[in-house]
Amino acid sequence: MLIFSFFKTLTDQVITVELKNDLSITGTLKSVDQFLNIRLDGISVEDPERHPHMLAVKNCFIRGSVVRYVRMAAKSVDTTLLEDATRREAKEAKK
Amino acid sequence: MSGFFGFDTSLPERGAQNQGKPQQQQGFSGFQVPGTNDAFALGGAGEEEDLAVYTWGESTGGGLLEGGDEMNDETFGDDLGGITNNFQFSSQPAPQPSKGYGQSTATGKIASTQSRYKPKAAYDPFAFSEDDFYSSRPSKKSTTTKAPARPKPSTAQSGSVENLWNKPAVSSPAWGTAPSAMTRPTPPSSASLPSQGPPAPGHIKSLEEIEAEMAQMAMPSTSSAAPTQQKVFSLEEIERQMMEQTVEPPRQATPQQPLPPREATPTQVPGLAASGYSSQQALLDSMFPELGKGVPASGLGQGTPSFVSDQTGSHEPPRPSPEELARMEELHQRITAKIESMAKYNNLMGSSDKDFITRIQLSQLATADPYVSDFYAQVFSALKRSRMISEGQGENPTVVQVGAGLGLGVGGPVGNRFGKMGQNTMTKLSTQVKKLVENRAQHQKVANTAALQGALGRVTRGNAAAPRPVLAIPTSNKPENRPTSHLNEQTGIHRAALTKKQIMFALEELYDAILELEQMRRDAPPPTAMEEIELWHNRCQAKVDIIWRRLMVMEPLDISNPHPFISLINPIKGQKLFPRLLRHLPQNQTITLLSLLVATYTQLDVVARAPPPPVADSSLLTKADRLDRAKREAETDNFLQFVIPGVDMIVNRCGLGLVAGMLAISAQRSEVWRVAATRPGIALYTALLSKAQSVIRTPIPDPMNPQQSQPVDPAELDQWTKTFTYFLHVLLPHLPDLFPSSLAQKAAFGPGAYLLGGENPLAEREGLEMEKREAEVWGFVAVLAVNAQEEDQTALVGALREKILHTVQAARHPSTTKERAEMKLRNVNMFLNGLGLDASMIE
Amino acid sequence: MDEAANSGISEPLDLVKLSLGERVFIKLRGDRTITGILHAYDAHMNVVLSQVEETIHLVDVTEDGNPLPPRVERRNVEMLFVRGDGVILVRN
Repeated sequence: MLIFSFFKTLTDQVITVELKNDLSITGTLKSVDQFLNIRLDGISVEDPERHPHMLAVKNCFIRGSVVRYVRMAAKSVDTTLLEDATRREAKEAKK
Repeated sequence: MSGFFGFDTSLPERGAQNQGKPQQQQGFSGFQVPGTNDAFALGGAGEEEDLAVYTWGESTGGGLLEGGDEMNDETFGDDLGGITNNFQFSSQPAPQPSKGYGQSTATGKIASTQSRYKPKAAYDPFAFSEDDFYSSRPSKKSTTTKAPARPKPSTAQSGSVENLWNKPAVSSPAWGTAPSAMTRPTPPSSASLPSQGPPAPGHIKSLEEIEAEMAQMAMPSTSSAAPTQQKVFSLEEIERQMMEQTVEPPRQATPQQPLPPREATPTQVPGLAASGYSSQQALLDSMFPELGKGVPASGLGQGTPSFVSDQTGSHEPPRPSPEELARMEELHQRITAKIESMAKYNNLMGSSDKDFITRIQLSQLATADPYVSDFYAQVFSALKRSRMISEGQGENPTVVQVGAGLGLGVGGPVGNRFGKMGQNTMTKLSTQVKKLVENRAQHQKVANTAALQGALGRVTRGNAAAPRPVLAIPTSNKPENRPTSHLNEQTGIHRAALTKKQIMFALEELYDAILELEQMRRDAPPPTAMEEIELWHNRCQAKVDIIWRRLMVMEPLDISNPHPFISLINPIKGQKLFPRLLRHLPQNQTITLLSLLVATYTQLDVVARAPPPPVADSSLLTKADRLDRAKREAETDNFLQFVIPGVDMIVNRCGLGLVAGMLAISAQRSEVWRVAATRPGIALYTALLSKAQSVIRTPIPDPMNPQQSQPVDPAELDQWTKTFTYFLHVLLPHLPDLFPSSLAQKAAFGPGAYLLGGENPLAEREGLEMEKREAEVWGFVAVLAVNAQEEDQTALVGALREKILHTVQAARHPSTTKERAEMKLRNVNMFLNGLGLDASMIE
Repeated sequence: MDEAANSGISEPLDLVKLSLGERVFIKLRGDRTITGILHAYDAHMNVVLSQVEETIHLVDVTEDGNPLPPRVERRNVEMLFVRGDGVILVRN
């Protein structure tokens, strides 16, 4: 839930999702669910020559399990708070 | 999956019931009575919250296998009258029993399923499903001849279970399969009943009745014709019921289920807690909106066979058309076979198991306390909101308060805020220095500038009658008045320094404690409850004590090198903790802490392993070197950002005596020039010296702490003077070496190289960075100047003479950019103005 | 003290917790390694890192199938979420 919570704060921000097939999609995060499925709007693909089929796609839904990385701006993350949240979650899990 | 199938199957069965008796409708309405549902839902909800989720699963398992007989009593107890009826209903028994049964099922088991599956979309489907449920139960019982033979304790539940297993074999015909599918819902429901706890009142005969019914059931079930008949009727009946239900019962049901769930989205905790199922239901609604609608429609249109097909799921339901009968038969058989094979696993999960899983899924989406599972998002958005507010209102002081309060409440100060805080402190320090310098300059104008005339060699303005080109610098280091400190006592105990793992562990413990404490502070009782406040305060205090102990500040000073406390604030993680700790510690403890910190300052990584001075061209460094530098620079930056503000805050609370004591400790326990050669050292000394000066010159209004206006104790003043003099004299010979630019020249390129580096933009940026670093040192020497006695000032100027001239020359050098030149002049003037001089005096 | 430290560590994730806020090294599937400052993790080993350097070890193959000497590709990312199913090990 921590990561889900984390992603919720990134909604409406531009992120880059790198999939396990090396396709990198940049777009505005519109929504995320607890499986970390991701919906992106206004997408662009990092390497359009390699993935021409993506050219026409303007928004997409990405199944969480195919994600390798998600890159985001550092300023959109409150790292101190995030660490605290992680500690809280770790503690919750132990109870 | 059984749940879905159950839905489908339910339709025909229910129809059969209806056909049997019009009264059944009463029964339906009865089961839909909101009260019963409520009770059920409540019971379920209660369990959810109180018990570990696992209890559910266990209870179900037990129910399935055989146990939980007491539960059976309860479950059937509700139905008491109904039970007998139920079993008979398949054979179309007396109206009353059936109705009763319907009610019971509806209330207990079906309520749950109903709530889970799309009640809102179509009330009818639910009604159907419920009917099906209870109808299915009897039918399956009928199939199993075993049931009656069962021992009493096993009761209906066990019988049903067995039936389930046996059924597929028994009911080979397509029609027969339907009941088997239907059976699924029943056992789970029975199992779920116990788990759901509150047994409905009025169950007396259940066991006997059940057995009797079972016996009865066996007979009618064998005839497959009966069910079909019922089904035929069922369609009509279903429609009628749909009509009726939409009119009445659903109404009652609706308020409980569809509405609250809609709102009880994952984030809304209370919704789930209160209405348990309803929220689940809402979720399911959203996930399978077509579920409720699709099932009833297909059932109506296709007739009996469709139900069978529905159960199989994968197969397309055969439409009953006369020409295709043979084909259908074959299909049915295949379907039946398939169903049988699938039915092997029927009821592997009871409805409570399914509830359990649903709950696991849902529990991830909703909790009673949004701060528990959604802490980050909640707090992050709260912070964001407050930040937006503060941005909107600008520098309004109330906003600052809000921010501060939030920070406390949040428990996690934002990096941004800290960044600002760090910057603020540095600006504060420099403004302090500036003020002191300005003040001093004014004094000096009046007083004797004569003594300093020519101190810089040639002075263009003023009295140049007798310029003294060089100063004879009195390097009289007289350490007679060496201050002493009780902290110097050797304890003799010595331990190894903490290992990295120990440090990390201790830090995590501290973080946990701090988080708890912050949470505690957040949960402050209302100000009216005096007793509670007292308790709360005590609890907080206890926590603070724990934290204090874990900080290990009170360990003997020389217990290890580095001291355990220093070990704790060496990592960046510990540094980040520092300001959060200070917020909770009482003043005397913070002062103790600062004393320790000052005494062991050299043990700090940022001092002991201070990053080497920046070089004009970093491309000359090896990669490892660069990485190492970057790491150490980052550590230093963090220290300045997180620890120094706290240090400054504590220093500002100290009186002159304490400040003198701190400086004495530092001078005594460390080689001050080494400390002063680091940025953290400069920051510490600047804080101490400027604080002392602002205390001494009480007339200077210091907006930072207006409460500091008591007159200075002469004894303290004397102590301060002695300490400072000693400090200054120790430092004097090393003063020029404190400047990073001097060091950089020496270290890397020799004199002059640094001056030449101003051409490409990268070097320019590094140069500017260098000037900033220089400014810190200039600020420090300016405070030295302000604090120094007259003769010491002369010595100070003498020590820095070359540096001053060098800097001024560099500032006037044509190759120096304007921006940098200005910075250089500003730096030098910071110091010179403190002495009543100015860089413009220098030729 | 070491025992005390160990006593509080009952499961592997406790060790990861010690590295919160510290630079960690993570080995990933697909011959990737990353280092970065750990800011969050969960039971799936989903992690959030900052100041990340990713290293990909590649072995290119010539047209006739002979492997070329391995080469290394590096990337820097300021903030990165790594999905846990790719994580092989975490070390501080």
